[in-house]
Parts: sequence; structure tokens; C-alpha cells
Amino acid sequence: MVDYLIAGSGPAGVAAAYALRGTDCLILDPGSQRSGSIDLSGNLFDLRQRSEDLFDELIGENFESLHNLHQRPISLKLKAPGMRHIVAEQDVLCPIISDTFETSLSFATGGLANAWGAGVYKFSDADLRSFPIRASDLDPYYDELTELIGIAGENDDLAPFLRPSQGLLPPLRLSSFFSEMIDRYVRLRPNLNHRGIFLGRSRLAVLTKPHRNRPAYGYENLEFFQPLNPGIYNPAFTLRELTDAGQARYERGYLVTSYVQREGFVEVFARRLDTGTSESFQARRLLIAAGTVNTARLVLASTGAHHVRVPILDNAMSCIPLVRLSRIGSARDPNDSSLAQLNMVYDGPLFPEVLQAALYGTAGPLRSDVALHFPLTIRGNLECARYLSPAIGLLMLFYPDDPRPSNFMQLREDGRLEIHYQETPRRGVERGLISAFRRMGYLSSIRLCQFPRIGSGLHYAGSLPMKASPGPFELYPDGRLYGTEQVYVVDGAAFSRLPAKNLTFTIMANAMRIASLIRSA
Amino acid sequence: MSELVIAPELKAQLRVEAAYLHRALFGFEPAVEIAERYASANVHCLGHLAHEQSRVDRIIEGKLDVEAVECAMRHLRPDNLLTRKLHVLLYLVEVRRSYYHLFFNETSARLKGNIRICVHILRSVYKAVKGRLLIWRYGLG
Repeated sequence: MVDYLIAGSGPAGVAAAYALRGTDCLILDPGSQRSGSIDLSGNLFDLRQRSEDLFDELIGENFESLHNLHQRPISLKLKAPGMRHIVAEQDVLCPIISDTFETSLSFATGGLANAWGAGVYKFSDADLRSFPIRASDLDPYYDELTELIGIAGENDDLAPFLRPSQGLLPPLRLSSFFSEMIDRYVRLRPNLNHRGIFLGRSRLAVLTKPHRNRPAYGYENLEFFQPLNPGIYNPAFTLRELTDAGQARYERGYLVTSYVQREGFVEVFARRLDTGTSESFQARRLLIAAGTVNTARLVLASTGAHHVRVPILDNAMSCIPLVRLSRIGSARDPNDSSLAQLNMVYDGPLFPEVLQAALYGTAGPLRSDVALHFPLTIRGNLECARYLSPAIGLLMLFYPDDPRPSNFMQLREDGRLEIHYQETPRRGVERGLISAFRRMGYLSSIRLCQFPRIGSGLHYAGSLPMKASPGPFELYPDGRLYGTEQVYVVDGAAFSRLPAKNLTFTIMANAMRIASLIRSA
Repeated sequence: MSELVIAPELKAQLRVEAAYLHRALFGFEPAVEIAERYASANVHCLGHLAHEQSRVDRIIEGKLDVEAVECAMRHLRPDNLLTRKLHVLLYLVEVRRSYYHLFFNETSARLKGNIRICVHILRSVYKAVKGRLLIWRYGLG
């Protein structure tokens, strides 16, 4: 019997483990790891100019990077040979049926944070309006996490929306494209703010100075090809700290499949992935942190609730390319990185709620990933990739989501999870933003915008929401699952709604909050 | 590389195809590794489009303008085999140092960049029209 059993080693599971450090805490997880010994070090562009051939590292001996040419498309950040393990076992371990919702689920140590954009943003009371908790309930944990993981950013024009933070590290270097953009914003600020547009520095779980035995980010630009850059926070770092210090135990190679609430404890069943055999564990408290979709599957399976509908939320996204004509033909900027360079908040008349966007350069993916997005011949497209890319920034706009009857998951008897989702058409805000950015000197067109399928945002949440007075498949404010005494949900499944804001930081803070409450009970 | 068994005839055919497509795009013969990997990638990744191979064969046998046909085909039907094959080739060459300068610009070239893009816009219009004619004339649609 353990005191606490945590299912999952992603941001939520590890944050909870951190709050429970030093107790009798066991973390179970499939813990998929990279196979092979490819190890890139140094700056990607230096490597590409020095190395004769990077086929194994960037394409893969099984043509992993060509995945989207012949299989269901996945995020460009998940397909390189060094990244494939992050979502490799999804179809086996959690098969999904959906025509409308794109899912990428991770069974790797650290979860989807192995490929995250590292955006970390506090939720405000407005963001939390359907939650049975307030921002002040999360603030102590936001602060503790800021110190634990190291966050680079600034308290600038976005502070009223992102909430001021203490202890921020200096922001990342800006590429020349985005340095110019922020300068132009400052000059046109009154007009843009009047139109509801606010620009500022991204807040990222990236180190710009050494912090807690981790070195500063070195602008290696390897994020699309290799996880576990020590300069970019990964829950696996904290997990290793905890286990090395004997403050938690981690057993990888287990998929938690179900639980049974017994008298005074929870019996947890897990399948050993190497042998296929089932083992049972006993815990005084079970904390489920398997990721929204997996957590829902686990709870539904454990209660035999086939065909019960639970909500599913995700941030719909729009991708707006912004072209600065005067930068065509510019040299590649060594300050450009695949991380978000700026953030934008839209608080205007075109949408009833605040929207947030992250702005990126083009340094991340392989050029071949995007080369055919231009309408010219192949050689023409190559010229565009070469000369036009330095002149392009990408604005990724997020939309909020609230539970709707049309958007749900349900577990079938055969164990597969069905996801149904009806997207809301969107074009109005994009046109308004294109017009505003044109005034700043950046061209775009609604025809150039891309609208990735819902689910591509990987911001899954809300399947077992917290409520002040919960019912079946809902949680008490302390994260306890209705109808149980010792089962808690600590990941994004607990969210009551999803504002247009990266959710990982709040997932972690909420997991710490719940775990702290459990510990002190 | 994973153990992929490719019939020798197919491998030889795909190597010839790689050479033709590579010459069409870059104006010179590909390295042996590129042709080998192209053959493997076709079997590994493009088997689901094998029913269109005869069209690609006709383009090569007829020594047709690959760029023109591909450009027109991509506008008509983005998920066509020729486009996918050329896309594979792009991936394979991008990761080699000798092609780096085709994908990235390390020195400022604003005038040159603007001129080259303008030239390629005009060129692409010409190629797209030519491609449509070739598709019609040789029944490649």
C-alpha cells in the first residue's frame, strides 16, 4: 500500500508529485522513450552547414519525417525521428474514433510537454469564471512554479491580461523580424490598443540564465527534432530530481487501466507494457494525471460507463502568415528560434471574449514541410522558402472553448474512445487582425490563413470538470471525483472551461493545489 | 535502415526516376544515396498511390517538363503521386550540406531575392499553363 499513487508523468502528474515530495508517493506511467542513439548537439543551422548528411537525425531511417505525406497528419513537432516516441503508441494504448477531432496523446515520460511551446500564462478570474476556484487559489502555486521551472518574460502591455508575475527571467532574444514588429507596435500603440490589439513578450518556461542546475537555452533550434533541451522546461527534469533525491518513486512501463474504490483505499490496475500482464497496486489516494483524454477513458472504463458522454474542450486555432515585404531576401537570423517570439492579446469588438495569439518565426520545421504551401513551381517554391521565409511571421490565434452538447467523448464497449466535435466557423477576427497588421506594415490575406483541425492545438481539457456542486463524472473543488472518496483528477480534465490561453501552467498550478490539499488533509 | 525488401527491377526503375526528377529540379545527377533513399521512400511512403505510377512513367518516357506538369497537377489535385514524389525528393536533399544554400539564405540579398521571386512568379504562370496543356495532350489527368 502506498499513500499516493499518481497515474501519469506529464506536467500535472509531476507538479502533483512535487507537492507531495517526501511522502510515500509512487508514479506509474508507460514512460515511452526514444529508441536509437541519435543525439544532436549544437545549433541546428551550424550542424546543417557542417555535416555532410543529417538524414538519420532529421528524416529518420524509417522516413519518420515523411509521416504526413502518407499518414494521418500530426504536428510538425511530433514527427521527426527523435520526437516520434512522444505519441508513438497512441493507436495501441488509447485508440480514438473521430472524424472531426484530431488527437495526439503522449505516453512518454513528461507527456506532451516533450514537444510543447513552453508558453506559461496565469489564468485570471475572468478566465476561471466557470471554475469553483479563483485566481487567488492558484497564485501561491503559480509563484512556486515560477521559481521551480524558470520563466522568461516581461511585465509589459500584456500584464493586465497575463497578470503580473514576480521573479521572471529576462525575456528571450528577439529576432530582427520581431524586434521591428514590436518597435512598430510601440509607434502605433494608441491606435492598435484602441482596436483591441496588444502586443508583448511571450512568457516561456525557457531559461535565459542558468537556473537550478539547468543551463540557459542556447538557441539551438532543435526543438522540432529532439526533446529534453535543458534550457526548456520538461517535467522529466523535475521527475528526475524527485526520484534522485528519493522524494518520489517512478515506475515506467505501466499503463493504468482502471481502479476500484475499496474501503479506505483505491485498488489500481495497471498493465505492464513489456509482458502484457496486469498488476494491481493499492493506494490511500489515487491522483489521475494521464492527460484529459486518457483520464476520461480511465474514469469511464473504471465505472463501466459506456456511452456516457463527457465534455471535451480544445482551443481552436487560426494561423495567419504576416509578410513584411522589406525583409524579403534578408539573411537568416541567428536570433530566430522555433519558440514563440511575441504574444498578442485581442480584446475588441470582433469577439465577445479575450483572445490570445503567439507569434512565431520560421526557424522551426524543415523547409520541406512548408515548401509546397506556396502556389509556384517546385523551384519557385524553393526560392520562396529561401528568400521569403525571413520576411514571414506566423500568428497562431487561439479561441476559447466552453462545454457544448455537440462536443463530447464516450467510451465504447470495445474500449475505443469516440470523440465528437462540431467546430464553430471563424473568419471575422482574422480579417480584423489582418487589417490591423496591414496598418503596421505586415501583409496577409484571409486566403493565406490556415485553420488547423480542432484537436491540433493539443490543449485538451474539461472532460471531468470541477464544480461547486458536482454530479457524476465531475469533480469537487478539491479535485475529488464525485462518487469516490480517494480518487482525484489533477490534469486538464478538471477544467470547467478553456480560455484562449495556454493551459499547461494552470494545469500544473491546479495539480499542485489539489495535491497540497490532499497532503494537508 | 529498416529491412525493406524491394524487388531489384522496381529499385532500378525508381533510381532512374530519381535521377530524372532530380535533374529536372536541380540540373545535375543525384548522389547514389539520394537515389537509393528515394527508392526506399517511395516503397515505404507512397505505396497507396501506386495506381498513378503509369502517369509518372509516361512523363519520364516522354521526357516531359516535370515542373510544368507537377505545378498544374498540384493545382488540380494536391494529393497526386508526382507531387508527392517531388516532395519526397525535397526532403531527401534538404538534409544534405551541399543543398543547404538552396533552402537558406545566409547573406543579405534583398534585391536578388525580390527579383528571383518575381521571376519565378512569372515562370510559374507559364509553367502552370504549359502543364495544363501537357496534361491534356498526353492524357495525364
